[in-house]
Amino acid sequence: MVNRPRDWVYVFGILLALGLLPLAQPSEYVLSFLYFLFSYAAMAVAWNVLGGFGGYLSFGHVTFFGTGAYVTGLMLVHWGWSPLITAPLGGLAAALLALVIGYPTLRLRGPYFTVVTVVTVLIAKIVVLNVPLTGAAMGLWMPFPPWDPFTSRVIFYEAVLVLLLAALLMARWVQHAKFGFGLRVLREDEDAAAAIGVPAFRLKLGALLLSAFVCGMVGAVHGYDRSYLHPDFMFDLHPSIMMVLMALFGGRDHWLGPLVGAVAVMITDELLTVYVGTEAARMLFGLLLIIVVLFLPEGVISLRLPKKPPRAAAAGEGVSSP
Amino acid sequence: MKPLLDIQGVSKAFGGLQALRDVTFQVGPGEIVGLIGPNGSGKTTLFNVISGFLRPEQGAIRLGELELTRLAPHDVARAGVGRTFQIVRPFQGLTVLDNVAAAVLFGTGQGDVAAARRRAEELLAFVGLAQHRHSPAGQLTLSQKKRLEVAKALGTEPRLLLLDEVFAGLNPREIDDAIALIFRLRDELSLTVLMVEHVMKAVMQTCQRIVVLSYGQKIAEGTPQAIATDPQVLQVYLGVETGAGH
Repeated sequence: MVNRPRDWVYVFGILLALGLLPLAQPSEYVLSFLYFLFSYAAMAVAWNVLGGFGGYLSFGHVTFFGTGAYVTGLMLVHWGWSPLITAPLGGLAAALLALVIGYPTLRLRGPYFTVVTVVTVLIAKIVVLNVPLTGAAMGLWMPFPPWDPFTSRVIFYEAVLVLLLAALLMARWVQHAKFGFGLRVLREDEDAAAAIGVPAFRLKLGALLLSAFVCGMVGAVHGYDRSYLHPDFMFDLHPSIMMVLMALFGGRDHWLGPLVGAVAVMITDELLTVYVGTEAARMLFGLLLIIVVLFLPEGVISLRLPKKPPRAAAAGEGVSSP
Repeated sequence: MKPLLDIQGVSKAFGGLQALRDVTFQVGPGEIVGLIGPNGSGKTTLFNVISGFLRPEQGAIRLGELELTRLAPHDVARAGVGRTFQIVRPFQGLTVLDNVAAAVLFGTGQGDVAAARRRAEELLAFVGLAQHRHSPAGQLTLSQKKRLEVAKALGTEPRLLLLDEVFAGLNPREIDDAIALIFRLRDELSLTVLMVEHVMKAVMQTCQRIVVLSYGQKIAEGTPQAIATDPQVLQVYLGVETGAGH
């Protein structure tokens, strides 16, 4: 089943073009901004698999981000392994933690689950602050990446771009697969879903593991880039809230929604932070989220997507403008 | 004849309220059996027990040779028990077609979304919703939603269909259509049907056998004619004193 072929051709075309951007010798500021944008977008896209498709709002995904960073950092510090190995292991560690957290909590429904996810961030932070192995409150110093500053920016830029690409492919696959059907159906009504044979718990857990893995990978890359980890930064609720905001703002029902949301939110955030100030930016985001939830529950992407995709998709018409 | 559904001594209590007390009956393959009783008599509780949403304290439920008693709801659905809900529960945000396609995907183990949608189209044609297949399920009328519930249940390829008040809220014309649909379920799809129903006309016309519950206990079982004249049933429903001395 091919769904709106033009959309993904555009999206992946743009991403590939962005992959070539460093050849044009952009400023480190541009690379750095896009690096943050891609990092957040990758996490928001992954978050959306559980939070958007499945409707299980998690404010705890920064826990997986931080876990990926710390596990990678510790392996780099103690064993000196290549980041190419430690980053995926960081993702796996995050997925493993997701299994431990998700196994009991995904039996909870809706708001109860959300509350628990917030608590996991607080617990993770306290644990890391008190375990000597992680450097506790002193933080963890990691070996510096061996490149000059510009090369370093380019490498990390490309790394998170690849992660974003992977997250998008994963979310796009989920949306159109049986898996995505199950998640959407259980979001609508978990009992009615069970009555048609949907193994809700297993699907929710699968979605959590996938999204945790991506967040863990992003955390691993980010940690290596910073070379210094501290619980206050790695287990901060703010990035968690940003992921949710981006996904809901962009549109939770489509794999592209969180990317659209990430672009919109990051650009707004950058402009506001530069010209108005951080506090104002955060207040405005709150307001923006309220407006979107009230008036555009399917996100800004619903402004562009047709209301009834199946027919158009089957006929291969793509997105038609109204 | 070996029963398809075998309910043996099922009891279920909610705190101090005994919702089901030692309920035993069977449904044979190809039968249409009605389950009636006043409000609160335990009909829907029994449905929830059969479909795995509630665990009985005592008793056993078998579908053919398969023990359903300890299965989770989604496993009961896959084992061949399709059910509808008394209060219709379409997946509002999905199209009518995808509602049924989801049931095909998860109820039958089908993995191919396109194939599931094709099967869903057939089922929607069967229940008479083909022209609404691309509407969001939330936009259907009540009688259409009830048909959608049936199509969803059919999507799981059930051997036994549990229909919970599919006639409630329908007008006389729609009731006639629904009665015809139930006969077609049996005759064309060889399904066995157990239905909870308050609309007596529908029960009398469709059911070969009726089981009557009152306060969680089975008080009568028999043909519609026998049930209609059963003194205990009349007393429960109408409060009629029958001279036989109750």
